[in-house]
This record gives sequence, C-alpha cells and structure tokens, in this order.
Amino acid sequence: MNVSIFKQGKGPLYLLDPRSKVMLTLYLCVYVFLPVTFASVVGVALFSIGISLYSLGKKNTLTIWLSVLPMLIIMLIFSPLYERGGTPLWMWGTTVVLTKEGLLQSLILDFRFLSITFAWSLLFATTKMDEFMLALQAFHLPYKACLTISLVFRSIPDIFDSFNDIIDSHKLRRGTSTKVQKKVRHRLKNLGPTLTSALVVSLRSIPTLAMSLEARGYGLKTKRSQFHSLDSYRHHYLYSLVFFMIFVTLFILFQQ
Amino acid sequence: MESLAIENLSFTYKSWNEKKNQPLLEKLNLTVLSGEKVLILSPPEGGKTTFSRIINALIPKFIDGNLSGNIHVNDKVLTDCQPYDLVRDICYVSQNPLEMFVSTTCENEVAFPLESLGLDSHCIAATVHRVLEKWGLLSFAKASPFELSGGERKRLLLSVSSAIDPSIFVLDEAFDDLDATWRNFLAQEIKTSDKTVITLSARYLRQFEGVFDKVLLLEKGTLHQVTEAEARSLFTHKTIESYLKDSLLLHPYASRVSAYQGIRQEVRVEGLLAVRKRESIKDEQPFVMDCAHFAVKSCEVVRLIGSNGSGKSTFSRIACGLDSFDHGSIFLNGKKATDQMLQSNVGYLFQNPDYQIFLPTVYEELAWGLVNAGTYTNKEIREKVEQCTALFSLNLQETPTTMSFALRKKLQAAVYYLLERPFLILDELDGAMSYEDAYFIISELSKKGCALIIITHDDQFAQEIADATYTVHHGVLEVLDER
Repeated sequence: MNVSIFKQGKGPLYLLDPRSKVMLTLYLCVYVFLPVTFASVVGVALFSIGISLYSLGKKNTLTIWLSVLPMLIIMLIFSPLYERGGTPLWMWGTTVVLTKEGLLQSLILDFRFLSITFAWSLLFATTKMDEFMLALQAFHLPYKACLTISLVFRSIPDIFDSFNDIIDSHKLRRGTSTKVQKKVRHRLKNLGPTLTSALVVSLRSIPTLAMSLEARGYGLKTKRSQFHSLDSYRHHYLYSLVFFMIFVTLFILFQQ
Repeated sequence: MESLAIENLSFTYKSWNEKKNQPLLEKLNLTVLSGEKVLILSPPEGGKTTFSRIINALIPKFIDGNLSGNIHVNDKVLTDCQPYDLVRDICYVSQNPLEMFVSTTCENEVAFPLESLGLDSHCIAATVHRVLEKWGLLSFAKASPFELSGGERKRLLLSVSSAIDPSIFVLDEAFDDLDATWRNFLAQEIKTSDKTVITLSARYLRQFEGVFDKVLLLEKGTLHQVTEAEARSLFTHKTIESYLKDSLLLHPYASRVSAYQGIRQEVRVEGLLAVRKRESIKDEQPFVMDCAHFAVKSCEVVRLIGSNGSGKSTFSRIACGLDSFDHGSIFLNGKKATDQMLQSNVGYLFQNPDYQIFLPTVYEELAWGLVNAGTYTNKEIREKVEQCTALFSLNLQETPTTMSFALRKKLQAAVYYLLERPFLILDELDGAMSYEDAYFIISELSKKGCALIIITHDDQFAQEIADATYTVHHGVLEVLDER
C-alpha cells in the first residue's frame, strides 16, 4: 500500500534541513541544464540513484525508475529523429535515421530526466509533508499555496491507492479470466473503466475535502499557528551555501 | 439554554436530471438543550448524514440543494455562518472517515483544527498527545491515517473532535467500525460528558442503553420522540426468526447442505503466515498474520470477529487472492489455489463500498461483471440485472455515487449476488445498514449455496446462524466456536 510519498529510510538526507534540501534539489535541476559535459550529467544521475539506493533501498529506487521508464524509452527512440546532423550511425536507404550526435543528445536528455526525477523523489521521500510545507513557508510562499501543494501530495498516494483498490475490485468481479485477459487489447479495454472509476473517486473527494477543511477551521480570520517548526535544524544557510559552492565548482570543472 | 434550535427545516437535493427530487427533510423541528444527549434513529436513506451536514453548515454550501427553515446553533443563525465560524460550537464525525482526512500523519490530523484556532505549539502538542492516548492511537501518531484499520480511522476522527472540544458533537454512525471495547468506551464518554451530543444511527445498539436523554425517530423527513423501549423494539436486534422467516439458514448445516443441489466446494487455509510493515513509521515489530487452520464449505456461515486492527481485513484480502503471504497454503477443493483461482471463486465485499462501485448507473454497475464473464447475451444480462434490482429494491437508473452509504453497500452485495461466487467475505456488511437489510442479503446469498464469511463487530449479528466463529487477536486467527 502506497500511503504516503514520505518513506522511512536511513542516511544524512533524513537529517538535513528541509530548506537546504529544497535548495540542493533546485541546484541539481539547474546544473543538469547548464552547458556541462555528458560525463558530468551521467555522474549526477548516477549519484542521485546511488543516494536513493542508500537512503530508500532497492525496492523504492526500482519503483521510481520504473515509473519513468516508459518516458525514458520514448525519449530515447524519438529524440534522435530530430537531430539528424553529424556522423551517421544508421541509415535507411539514403535517409539518415540515427547519428552519433543525435544519440548523444537523447542520452543527455534521458540522464537529465533521471537526475531530476530522482532529486525530487528523494526530496519528497525523505521530507515529511509538514516540514516540506514549513520549508516552503520559509521561502515566503503563502500558506494557501503551501496547503494546496501539501494536499496535492497527500492526494497522489490516495488516488494511487484508490486506483489499486479499483483494480482489485475489478479483478474480483472479472472472474474466470484466463489467457484472453493477458492480451494487450483486453488489458487496454479493461483500463477504461478503471481509469473512469479512479477519476470518479477523485472528483467525488473534492467537495468532501473542502467540507473537511472548513469544518476544521480553514478560512478563519485568526492567525494560524504551527504545530511543527524547523527550529531543531541548524545552519541551513551554511548548508545551502556549501551546496551552491559544490555545484559552482562542478560547473567550472566540467563546463563544455 | 438551547444548544440547537431548528424550526421548519426542509431540504431537497438539487436534481441533475429532469426528474424532480422529493424533499429529504420536511418541516423538521428540534430543540436540544445544552448538555443534552440525543439519539436520532433512522433507517438507511432516512437523511441522517444530510441532517448532520446541514446543522454543521456544510450543506447546501458544498452539495447543492434547496434549504428552508430557521436553525440556531448556540444562538448563532446558521445561515449567517460559514462552517469555520462554528468550529468551537459544533463538530461533525463523519460516517466515512476517509473522506475527512486532510493530513499525512495522525498527529497532524489532530493538530490541523488547533492550528486553525491559533493555539500555541505547546498547547497543540499537549492536546494531540492527550487525545491520541485517550483513543488508543498514540503509537500511530506518526503513521499515515490511510494505514489504519477501519475502526482506528473512526477513532482518529473521534480524536480530532475531542481535540476541538466543541459544545455540540454530532456523531454520524460513530459506533460503526468500532469493536465492542471502543463502543463501550464511546458510550461512556457520551454519558459522562457535559457537552451536547447528537448521535445518529440506523440501529439501536446494546451500548445505547441508559446513555441518552432523548430518543428521536427520523422518519419521512421529520423527527418525533419515542421512548427507549419503542426505539429498542424498532431498531434493536430481534429474534433471528423474525429476520429469516422460512429461511434454510435457520436449519442445521447438515440439512442445509443435503438440500443443496450444486457442487460442494471448500476453501482451506493451512499454516498461513504473512508479515506486513507500515511504510510511514518504523514499526518495532511488523504486523504478523498467523492462521494455523481455517476452513469454509458451501452453504456454511462463518463469523470472523476481532478488535480494530487485529487483521480481519488482512486475512480477507489474502483469502480472496488480492494479497500475497509469506508461508503456508490455501487450498480450493483440495488443490493448492493460485491468486487467480481465489479471485475467481472468493468474492469480497470491502468494508468501504466506494472502492467497489464506480460506474455511472446501477444498471452498468451490476452488468459489468456479467459482460466481462462473456457467457451471457445482452438480453440475458438485462433480464438478470432487472431481476436483481427488483429483488434488492434498487433503481436501475440511479447514480451510485449519489446513493446513501447503506444503499451503496446493498448495491455492492447485489453485484456479487449476480456473479454467483461460491465463497463470499462480507466485511462489516451490517455497518450503517438495518438488521433487516443485512439479513436479507445473507439469506439471498445463501440460497445459492454460497459459503459466507461474515466479519462483524456486533456481538449479536449473525451469531445464531453461524456454523463456526473464528477470532482474530493481534493477527492470530483461531477457531472460537464450532457448531
């Protein structure tokens, strides 16, 4: 059951100030789009995956990787078609299908995508939602915006669970399905009612969630207090500065 | 002093088609004094949830409808108030806890309204600790509400209301999902509280005895007072014969099975062990489901009882092939069963019907399984569905999402009635449903020779018709009683 984006794990990321973690994630995302060498983009991606393996374990890392795998494959197949200049690697008659530069470009795109995916996944998997909200508020994001983000991230696993429950329910109602069900056509056909059902469940939760928020005082003029605080974390400016310096150094070393 | 004063309350839901809706509440009057304990009994579809939401200013703000009449909550005119203006005055405990959760941990769930009220963090921390401890959830403080069992979720909602501590509590089927210990605890809480408590229920439970100052009947959209004795006679568990007139279930198992013409089947569980870990908190010890032996045969009725979070739903999911297990075997008619074999033979009515019904109309919902079976013509499907809706008193064109919780449960049962599964697990079928309806469903399902596993917290429900009772305690499933 996927109940929350936060996952219990080990490692320094769990101890790091959420504000510094947000900054680190942003630096990493910016870095992979800077004009740096292919090797350094691969290095950052592999580093993110390594941290994920250490902090979240094999199963969770594999889950993250599998969730983006279709996108990685699509990018790898289609992006070389838009980059036909350079040394040809594969030709269809007289038409250049794949070039060395095209392949390199699509690999860079894939590794960038992997780095960003793992960076954000690590941020949410190692940061409790209330601390993430506090971090956003520390960056002067209004409470309403923070709550919206928090509810979105609360809803993702919720919708995912509803989706799984609906699949389970359909399994039980489908009955004696044998080889026929394994055919792609049938599986796609069955996806329709499942997605529709998940959508219905999600839409139905909107008014009840709004009811719940207002019944618990959301909307009151009273200044809202905070149960949690980030006071136990120290030196977040220092950490953010250190991370910034690391990425600047990496950029100087690996710029193209 | 009056806590709640209602004069001529009428309400009709907005119709989304040409058909005009009938008023659900009509010229309803009610006065509840400060500190008074009121029990409102009503059959399913009687308007309990709607009434609860109206007096909390949630309807018609969030669900459209035509409201008229005067409502005063602690001298505040309800129509002048927003729901958040009434936080300290009135608090609503929903029948379905899942729809109320807004946070990712139990402690944050309790803290949320206290933050809205602007209390300081020390005060919030002390309150969170106190109420979670009171409702037995302290060890789940950092856990996600979605990882709790049905009864634990209900207790979390009660914790939230305890934390807010308003002057009026509105408890909509709050006793459902709770095990006997917590039902007794809640009843005692209501009895000893100096606050106003309005409890709404579809059944008169044993725990209600001597708790309430006033018992009201919500019928045909209006309220009228009845005595406790009258309420008991109308809404309490009667003799089993009164529910199951001429039913084979009243006969011993041997005579039922000899009258059964179909194939006799059996599901047997041997040495089952399943380990479950929570994802959101580090459990010191993971939950272990342990079942040395469990068996159920065609025509048999088995009760499965146990406290909240003991593992009843975990066992059910494994038994119908939805979840895996670590050790042991499940046999279907003597053969080791695969997940797919179990899924095709063991039906499971989830505790929450919303995870099983989702299509636009009752007809589509009932027809879906038959269409997928691929063995019936369209005409046959139509006939079967029509017969089923007539039997279960459902409306073919109605939209399941707008039906009451109890009616959604009935629809859920009707789905499996049509699918004709030889084994069926009914997870808290009696929750929010009248005894008449719950027994009717059991009776109809048993006519087909279906083996029924009934999960319940009601110590009277299905007790007399059960051929065996199993208990689950901290994950250990054992036979308690066999006839």
